[in-house]
Amino acid sequence: MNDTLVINTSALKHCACCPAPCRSAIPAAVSPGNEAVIPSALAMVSLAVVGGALPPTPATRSLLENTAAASYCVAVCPYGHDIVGLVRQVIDRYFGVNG
Amino acid sequence: MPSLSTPLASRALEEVLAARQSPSWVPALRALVGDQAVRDDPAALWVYSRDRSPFAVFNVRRLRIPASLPSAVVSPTSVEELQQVVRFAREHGIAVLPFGAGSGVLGAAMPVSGELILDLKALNHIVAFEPIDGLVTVQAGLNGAQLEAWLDERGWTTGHHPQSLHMSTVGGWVACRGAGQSSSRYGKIEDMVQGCTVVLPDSRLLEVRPVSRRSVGPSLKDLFVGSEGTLGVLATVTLRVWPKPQAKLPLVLALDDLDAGFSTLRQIMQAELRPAVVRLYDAHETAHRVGGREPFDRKPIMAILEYAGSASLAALERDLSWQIARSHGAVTAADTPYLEWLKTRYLSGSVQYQVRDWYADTIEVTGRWSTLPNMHREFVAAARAAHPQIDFGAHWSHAYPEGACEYMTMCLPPMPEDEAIPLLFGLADQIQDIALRNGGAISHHHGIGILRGYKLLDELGLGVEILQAIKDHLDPQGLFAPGKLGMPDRGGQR
Repeated sequence: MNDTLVINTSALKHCACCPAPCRSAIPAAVSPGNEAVIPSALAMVSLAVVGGALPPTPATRSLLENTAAASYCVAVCPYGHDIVGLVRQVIDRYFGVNG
Repeated sequence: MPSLSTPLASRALEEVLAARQSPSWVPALRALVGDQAVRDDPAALWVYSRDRSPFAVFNVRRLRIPASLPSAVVSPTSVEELQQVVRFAREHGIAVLPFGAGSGVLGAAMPVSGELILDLKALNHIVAFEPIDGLVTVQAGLNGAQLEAWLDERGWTTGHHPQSLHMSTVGGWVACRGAGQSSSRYGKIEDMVQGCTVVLPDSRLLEVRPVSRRSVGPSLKDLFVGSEGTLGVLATVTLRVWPKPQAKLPLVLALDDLDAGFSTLRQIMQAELRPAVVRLYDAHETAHRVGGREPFDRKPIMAILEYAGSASLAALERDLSWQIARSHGAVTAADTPYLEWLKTRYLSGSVQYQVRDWYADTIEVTGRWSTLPNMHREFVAAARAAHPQIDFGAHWSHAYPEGACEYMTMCLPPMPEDEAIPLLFGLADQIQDIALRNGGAISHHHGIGILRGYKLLDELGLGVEILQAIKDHLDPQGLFAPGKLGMPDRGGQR
């Protein structure tokens, strides 16, 4: 756990509020049927973890670590956010090695 | 009618999670469709607790559940599996809510009473493409932009280009009775749907075979176009498709006032011309897009039109339209505003406000040409009376020979939420009343969802009883999309 890491919550908030025009960049075969894999969902969960509303459980960590689909979105984000990178920071900051 | 100040009972995420218990039927559902297809961990349920309605966004940014957590989420991977899940839900008395990409803005995809979410995005296959007939059949969970890209590679298009193209599914287009930005030429979704299959609440599969039309009683497919999941789950949809247009020609106009704009659009549509794109902006939205630029510095109303099809047809339609526009004092402008619009046409304009804690919302109504000018004056007066700092603008798109859709954006600056939400909902309520009083409709293409449901009686009158009777017959337990489309929720409240 890295207690000193400052998370860019404004980018997370922007992504959580965005209706995700990037989602069409995710190939249809990658995690279909799972809304939780798009960047906006990862940002929403991250904000809840940072805000203390979602406990840093193994299930939440597992959800946040599933970034394969969101990785396709980074290059097409109209606002230039790297949510996958930010989510990794959230994991590093809020989830211990056993979290 | 729900209180406008508290349309839904939002609560803090932490508080909801503390009181939550996983339903006893979840292990049986896992056994039915497999572990991977069912999710009920708190983080996943948080993700599915919202759609893209501004009301949901206001809550999410404060880590609040807009209305309810879903009880669980299931992702069927075939139509047969979807039928199994529906049968399971019926046997266990579980309320269900179909979910595509959740891009709706009126709460139609938002759980209100712990529904089991049916995420349809794994049903994302193209079933058949029949170019001789100009038809494509797809599963309902296919992303709209992915369908367009697939068709584009083969030289075809649906002609359905909503702002939400990249963030919505084909099933969502149909379920909300949507309209795209090229609708004045290609029609709305109800014009494009030629057939469909629907998993009914008793789990049987209804098939409406795709044909151009049939004279065999009321149109069954139209019962499901706009049904918002209340009558069943769309499984597949057959759409009319078109060869990609050879040419797309823009026409950007500057006009003296809105009356000249209304007259121009009306006469274009009534002259049997069919521009693909028709957009008329009020002075506020024109200034926002092209403020100060020539010729809008002297003619403050902008219209953007696009003509599509064969090069000669598009050119002829544009020329004939220009003759009409010129007779109303219009001048042409450079194509720059059209090119800028093309770049941002699939992005949401409200994000920039929501992220700064403004309260941005939109509302779109239908009006007739004869009443649109007065209707708009009443809308503006209501907005100005609502709050002195409101950022209010309008444009007219989706033009018809009889009238057009007026699409309004209303943004309030940061303020306490218990002040802002009643103001926004109160203004939306007034706008709907004004539309009805002027012979219009309360919703043009966003649907009804939760947030317009209380107005359905004013809009449909006795028609509500007919819809309810059909609902009661198909779904006697009231398990499908409770609370949507003006139907009662699980507690019997509309």
